[in-house]
Amino acid sequence: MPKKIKNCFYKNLTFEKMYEAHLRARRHKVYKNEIISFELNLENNITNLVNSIKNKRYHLGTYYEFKVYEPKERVIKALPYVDRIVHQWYVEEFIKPFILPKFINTTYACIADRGTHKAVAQIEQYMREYKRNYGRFWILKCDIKKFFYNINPYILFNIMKKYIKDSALLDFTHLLIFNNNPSSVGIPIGNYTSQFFANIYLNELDQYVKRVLKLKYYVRYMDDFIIILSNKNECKSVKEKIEVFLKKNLQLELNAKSRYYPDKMGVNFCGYRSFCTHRLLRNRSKVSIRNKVKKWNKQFHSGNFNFSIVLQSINSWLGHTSHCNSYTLQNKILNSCDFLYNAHSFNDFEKFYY
Amino acid sequence: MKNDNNLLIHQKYMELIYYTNDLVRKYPKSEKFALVQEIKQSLYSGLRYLMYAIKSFNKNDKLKFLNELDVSLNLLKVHLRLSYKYKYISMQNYTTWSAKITDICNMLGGWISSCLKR
Repeated sequence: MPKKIKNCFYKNLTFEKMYEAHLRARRHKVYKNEIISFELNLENNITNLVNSIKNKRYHLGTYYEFKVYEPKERVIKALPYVDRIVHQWYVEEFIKPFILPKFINTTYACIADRGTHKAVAQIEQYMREYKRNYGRFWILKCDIKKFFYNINPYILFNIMKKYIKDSALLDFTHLLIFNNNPSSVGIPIGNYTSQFFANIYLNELDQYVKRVLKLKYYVRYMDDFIIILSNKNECKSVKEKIEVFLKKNLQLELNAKSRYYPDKMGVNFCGYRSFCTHRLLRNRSKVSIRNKVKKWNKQFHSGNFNFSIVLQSINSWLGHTSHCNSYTLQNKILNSCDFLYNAHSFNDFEKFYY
Repeated sequence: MKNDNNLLIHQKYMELIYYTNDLVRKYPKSEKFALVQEIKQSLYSGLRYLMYAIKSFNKNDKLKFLNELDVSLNLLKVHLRLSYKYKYISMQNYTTWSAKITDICNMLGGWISSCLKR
């Protein structure tokens, strides 16, 4: 693995690579107007795009904004399709092969073959290992306050400078970070590159924790990280050190929700509450599934009920819960669904027929 | 100035024809009277419209021929996309071919907009 990225920008700037990026970017969106109109003139558009990047005439388009409400209210910014192809190409050709292998093993976001389930499995394994070897322990769980909005692009660019030596690629990275970004702090949520930039940004913290503080039991998922420590005082001091590091080097702050507690309480991480012995569903998602079932029951009784869509939701929820010890909860939820055959379905069976 | 530009697009179009004829020779026999014929037809009809457009002096006539040329080029693009999809041509051929067509299309776009302005 080379230490720095060089001599690769123009080598990868070809019609073929851009065409592959287009195939990746259009997935699940083949029938959208924007993409159909792009594909009408596919060869022209891609050739012109490659040429404009080559001649340094390329600029990002204007953002289209909308809001999502699901976990929280967030403003999402989406670029036109052409720029999304460019982002796909940039991430696949430069970030994935060169920068991602330098990450630590226990960061779980945005990397192939990792993800929330593996993160939860890892934290459980660490808890068991610690308990077996050292007995009781404390958990330090931290969260970064408004992570995407507080990333400083100047610091981000300095971090990217450490990795990249190719001057053309560095110029292009500068364009991607700074072009069309009116505010001096924060990167737009919704770009494909943003999540990787954010991951690279917090990689500095990973390296600090592993190399300077030398903590072994550390797991991170995007801006959410967990450290297992032996006692309360250690938690306090480590938290202070991390706070100072974040403030000084990355200009970030910890959330008010970040705190430390003994092992008995379990860890609320990536959708599950993990304990040393077992794993349960997060309370928040229990409430949300109950509310959903209530809504579906109401729809079922009033008549406007789309079974195929609801079935997909239920199956996805069952898939999620199958990763934790929640057999009873699953049964309870399924029994409360009026639109399924369940334990209550045949209560009145005898009365009905005889 | 304007005349030179027309000659340039003509030259590029001739190069496109040479390149296409070279490529088309290696298509399978089953496509000889199907895709190959279509490709050649849209190629030569495009050439015909190009000649008419160069020779016509009336602005509206010229625009009409240029639009026809645009249509036949678009058809050609679809044909070459199909040829790549069925693996009659390699990625290298696809890249070169689309570079040639893009060059012509960009020139044509400039020509049409200049006609519209006048």
